[in-house]
Amino acid sequence: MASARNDDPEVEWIRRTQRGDGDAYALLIERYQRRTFSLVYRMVGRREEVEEVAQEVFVKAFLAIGSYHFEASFGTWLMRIAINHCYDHLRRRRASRLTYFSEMSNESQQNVEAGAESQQASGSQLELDLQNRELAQKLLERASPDDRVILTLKELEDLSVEEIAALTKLKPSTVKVRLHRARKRLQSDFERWGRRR
Amino acid sequence: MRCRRVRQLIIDESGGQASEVAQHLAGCRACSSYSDHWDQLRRGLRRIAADPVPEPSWGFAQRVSRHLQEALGMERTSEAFLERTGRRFVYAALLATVVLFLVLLVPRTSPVRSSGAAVEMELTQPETSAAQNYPLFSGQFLANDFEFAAQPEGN
Repeated sequence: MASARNDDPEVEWIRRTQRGDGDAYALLIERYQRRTFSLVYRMVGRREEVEEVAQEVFVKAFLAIGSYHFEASFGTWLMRIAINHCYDHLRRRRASRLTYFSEMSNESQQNVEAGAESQQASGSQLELDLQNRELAQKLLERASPDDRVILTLKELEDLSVEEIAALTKLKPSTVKVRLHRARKRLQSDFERWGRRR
Repeated sequence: MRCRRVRQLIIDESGGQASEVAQHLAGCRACSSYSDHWDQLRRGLRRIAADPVPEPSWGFAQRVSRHLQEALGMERTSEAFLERTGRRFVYAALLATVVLFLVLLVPRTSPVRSSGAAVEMELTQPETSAAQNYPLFSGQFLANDFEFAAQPEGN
């Protein structure tokens, strides 16, 4: 992993932050806040939670910055923290929830169907896409945190298998297997609903 | 090609064996439906990916940094307090230890220890101690301090 270039002020900001300089950390936050917000939003999926979760990510990163030794780029290191934090957040949020469509009660299945069917109108491609988007969003929300993380990184953040492997510290082959399984489960639920509509 | 393999290739989007997959889909309704659903799901996911991402509120970076510095300042204050209190406690404990040692070791000559020695000596050598404490029994009074006037023989 490439570390920051020597002429990049980021190195100095990181060193100053490691000495407890909050102003330098504000500069780092400004540089990475959009990327962090994007990742958090796609992981968490709720606008109202994004800023709070992103703030927690930056607090965690600040507290852990002493252990950052420039082995990976700061962006990669920060994204790892964001992914792990979002994973924990999803697990907490999911504690009282069901997972896939196939595991939902009849009532929940009807709710998902009703939500999607409410948008079913003339059947134009745009409307069909919006309908698919709603259902995909609902199914993603119900996916397990493991599946959610890997699907978000691949399908929404559009990262390569190698990039996901670097972020999650998994082997590329493991990422491929997990991605395949996650897609299969999501597709299974999507198809199940598709047959019903 | 078997349905299972075809579906695996569809989901992995590897693009491998494309002509064989297409040939299979043309003749297999179930796999064709599977492929259609996958395409719809991918379109739905692409729509989600295209959603505009919420922007950080104005001053987000400065706010987070300020909160962190405040928290850090409070932590340092509490650490300093604990350090001061801890240091005082250590000093007090050291002082108490020194005093205890002094009480146990030094006062061989102090009144407390010397009275103890006197009692001990009294118990082991009663005559000596009685002679020291009560000079009357030492015989010195009889020998030196009292002179009896000699009676005239003629009276």
